[in-house]
Amino acid sequence: MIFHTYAGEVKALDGIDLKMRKGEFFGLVGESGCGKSVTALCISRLLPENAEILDGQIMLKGEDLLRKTNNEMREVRMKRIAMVFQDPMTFLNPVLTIGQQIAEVYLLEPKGLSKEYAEKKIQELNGKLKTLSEEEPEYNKLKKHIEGYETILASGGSLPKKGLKEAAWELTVDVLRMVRLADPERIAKQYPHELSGGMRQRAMIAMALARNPDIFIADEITTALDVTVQAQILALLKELRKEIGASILIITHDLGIVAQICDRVAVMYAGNIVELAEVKEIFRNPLHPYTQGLIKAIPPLEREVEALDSIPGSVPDLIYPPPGCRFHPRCAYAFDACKQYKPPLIEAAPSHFVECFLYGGLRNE
Amino acid sequence: MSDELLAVKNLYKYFPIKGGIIGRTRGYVKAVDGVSFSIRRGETFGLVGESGCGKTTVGRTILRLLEPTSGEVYYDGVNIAKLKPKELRPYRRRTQMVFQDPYASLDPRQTVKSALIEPMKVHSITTDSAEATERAAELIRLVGLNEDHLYRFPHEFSGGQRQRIAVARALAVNPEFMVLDEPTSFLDVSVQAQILNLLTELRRRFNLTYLFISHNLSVIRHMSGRIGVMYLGRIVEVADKKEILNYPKHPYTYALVSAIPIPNPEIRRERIILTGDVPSPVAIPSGCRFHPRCPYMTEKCVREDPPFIQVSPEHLAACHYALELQFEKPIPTPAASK
Amino acid sequence: MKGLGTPRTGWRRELGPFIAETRYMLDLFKGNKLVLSGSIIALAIIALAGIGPYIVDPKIAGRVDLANRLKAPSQGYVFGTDENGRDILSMMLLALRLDISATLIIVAGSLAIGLLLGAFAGFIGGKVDEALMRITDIFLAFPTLILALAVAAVLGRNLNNLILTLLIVNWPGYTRLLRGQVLAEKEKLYVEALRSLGIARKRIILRHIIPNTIYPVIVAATLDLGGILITFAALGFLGFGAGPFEPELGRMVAIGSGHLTIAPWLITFPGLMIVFTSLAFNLMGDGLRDILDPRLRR
Repeated sequence: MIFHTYAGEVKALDGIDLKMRKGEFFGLVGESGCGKSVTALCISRLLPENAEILDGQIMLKGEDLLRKTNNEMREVRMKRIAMVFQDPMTFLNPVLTIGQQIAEVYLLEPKGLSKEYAEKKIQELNGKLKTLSEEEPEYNKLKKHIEGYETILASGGSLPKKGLKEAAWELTVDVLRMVRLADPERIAKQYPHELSGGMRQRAMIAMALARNPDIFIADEITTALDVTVQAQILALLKELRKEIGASILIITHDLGIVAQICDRVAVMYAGNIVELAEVKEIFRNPLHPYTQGLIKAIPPLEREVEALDSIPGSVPDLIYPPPGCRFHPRCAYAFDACKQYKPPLIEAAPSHFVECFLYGGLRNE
Repeated sequence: MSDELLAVKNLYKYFPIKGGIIGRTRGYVKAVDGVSFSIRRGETFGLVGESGCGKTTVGRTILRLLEPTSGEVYYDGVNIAKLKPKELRPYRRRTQMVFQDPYASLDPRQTVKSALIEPMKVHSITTDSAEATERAAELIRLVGLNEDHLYRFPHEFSGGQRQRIAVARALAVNPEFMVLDEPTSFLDVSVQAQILNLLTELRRRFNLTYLFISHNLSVIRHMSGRIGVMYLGRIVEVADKKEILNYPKHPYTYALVSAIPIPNPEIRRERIILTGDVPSPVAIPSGCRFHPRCPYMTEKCVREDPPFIQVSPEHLAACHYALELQFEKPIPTPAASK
Repeated sequence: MKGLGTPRTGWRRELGPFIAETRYMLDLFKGNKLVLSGSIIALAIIALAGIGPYIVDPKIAGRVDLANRLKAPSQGYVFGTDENGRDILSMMLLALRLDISATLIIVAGSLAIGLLLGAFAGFIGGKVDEALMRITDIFLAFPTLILALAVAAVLGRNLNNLILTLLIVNWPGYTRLLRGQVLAEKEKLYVEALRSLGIARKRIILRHIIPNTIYPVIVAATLDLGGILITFAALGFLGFGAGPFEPELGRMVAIGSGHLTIAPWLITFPGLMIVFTSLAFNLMGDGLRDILDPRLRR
């Protein structure tokens, strides 16, 4: 896709092919301007006005998101895609409490809320029921409650208005507890500025996970945080893995984060995915020269190096991107074909994809 | 000519918080709350810590860009904290600073050449205009750019290039000592590598002494010889980098080192996750300032502020139990790479 | 990057970047047709005002030719004649000179005072700044008309006093604007960097801060021209300043209103002149603001 600007057309994405599996942690890594955030915005179709998607499909569970109308997309964004960004302070409404904002997410869709709440209550009350014997007066009361909820479930209707508010509140507190915030009731009543950065980010994650989305997009969510707080958030995500069924797209520039929590990772450069593989594989055996350069450029924590291997040159201007492979001006191994043709994505090793002529893809055209 | 170029003793920098209509001072942000350290000629001292720990304030205060609330800063034997502005002038030539934000540290209306020549003029390094231009060209080439770039405005350059220009400007006056305040935090990893290499090269070439401030422990490790870890306005541990990274003695240092995600999926270690958030320098906890988050805290930690305990000749840690605590190596050495 | 590469020698090399900047600005300027035409007209009017006395004999203002009074626009008198038989077009050209130069003096003067005091206060800060702000508060409270009356009463009714009045009323605005700009600029990182280089405060203000803050102030000044012109003419209309033999647009409008039914050309042409000039200045100011604003977003 491209951006229309006064200076010219910015060819931001140059053919991205990516598949995420259910429940996996997929990392999208790259430096500034590579298009990783733009990709995320494309998925949720939250692009600014001057953006234009030229071609392609975005398939979520078999449905092409690009073909949906605005209203349909709103539904999708509400229920199926969740995004968390880098700076929670700009993302949260400063005049509403955390609880109000999360509850709002629940209240957007009363039927779903009612269903979830009813299910929860039924489980809860059934549990209580087991502790009582049939004779006690409580027993029948409880049974009536349970039946009430079951009818709601069966009929697909929603709770009465007051019931909805309470339901939303309870579920809000639950989800805040899920992100390991201590004393969730109190936190829910606080305003964003009263919380610390780490807590705000947890609240954001809670808001995102509230509706059990299919995809959770985390766009540089720990970049603004201190490293000890970042460690907490990453640990949280790892813990929540089993509890949430969502696939998580982790967008970051930090290879360390990728190494720690991602299953598979795609490396982006100047609007292209240049390499895609499982995490262990990509670090053990980086194929694309850019990936190699990127890994070598990080000052290692565990050993001493004299000078860091840096990648010469700088990121290209996407208004006039280099022809052929966009990385060729900075590549030590570039040859003629690289300057003319864009390398296709090929499977250089099992489940390990690269866009580089060094590994094939040259055809006599 | 002593070996010690910079000695900071008991540096305090408090920022008053004014409130109310009259503007009473309601409290203080204790950004730097008693910091002492020294740097030898030719070494790079790394100062690392998270947000609010005061490391940037330390950098600014020792160069007197902020006035210290109290304390002494001995540069080459002279307490520059006490000097009057006129007397401070020559020290401005010997010490320089490279700032964090390359997009803001250059005057947008000034050409690169003018930016490089101005400090030379001000400190009367050259009076001849042709000579100054020649020197500016030399400097710009030294940092990896070329002569044509002298005649451009800062906004025509990328972040990494602007940082190079900032370094060239700092070098224009032939300093001995440079404070590098998070010089690569705003830059991409690959650009960061270029700038760090440049800084290392320059240090070797001109025999400079660096105070390198960063929140990124990997970068600090790469650049520094000795490292000081700051927490909430104080240095809590100081030692040679190998010591600090492999045998930390302060619980905070240990947590910090273990929190860093290592770009190597083979090393997925169990990390100490500190609970809670970094507290604010407005309300500093009693006794040991780290005690509310410390997994090893005892009653003594709440009462008494720990002094520096000497763990080994060059290794100091401000923890009551520095000698007793034994931590597992926070960074396991991977079997494969050697 | 820009242009055809860097020339090898001397002054062209030094000025190169500034020339490129100016060229870039002019390109932007040409974009908006309305603004461009307004600005050209404004500049033309100023030029006209300048050469006025050389086209038209200033002594016309003092002549009385009752035989030809209140003549409609005709041969030899393109805009007609006024109550004293003077050619209105000539009078307008002369008046233009007066009005425009007064306007320019007032705006330039306020700007200069604002620059001195505002930049000073902004940079020094503290009690000096506070004191100055309170003084500007006092001056801002002055209602223009009342002050004009007072000055006229005390110092006499003439054009110079009118200029003085408007200067008194106008300078606080610029002072505050500049002070605000300087305060904001002072906090920027490059200022701290300059201090760390050992550059003296005075040099920082003069060579770095002021050039960086001057743009919004210039825009404000240009936009002000239109307003001041109208205010000046309005006070002239009310009778302050110009005497019966001094050509001034406001006064001409005032006199014209007395002869509205018999000789509408007396009021129409000077009035239109005021309106168009003011409009032209405003457009020029808008243009400047537009080209300078996005540039500031570096």
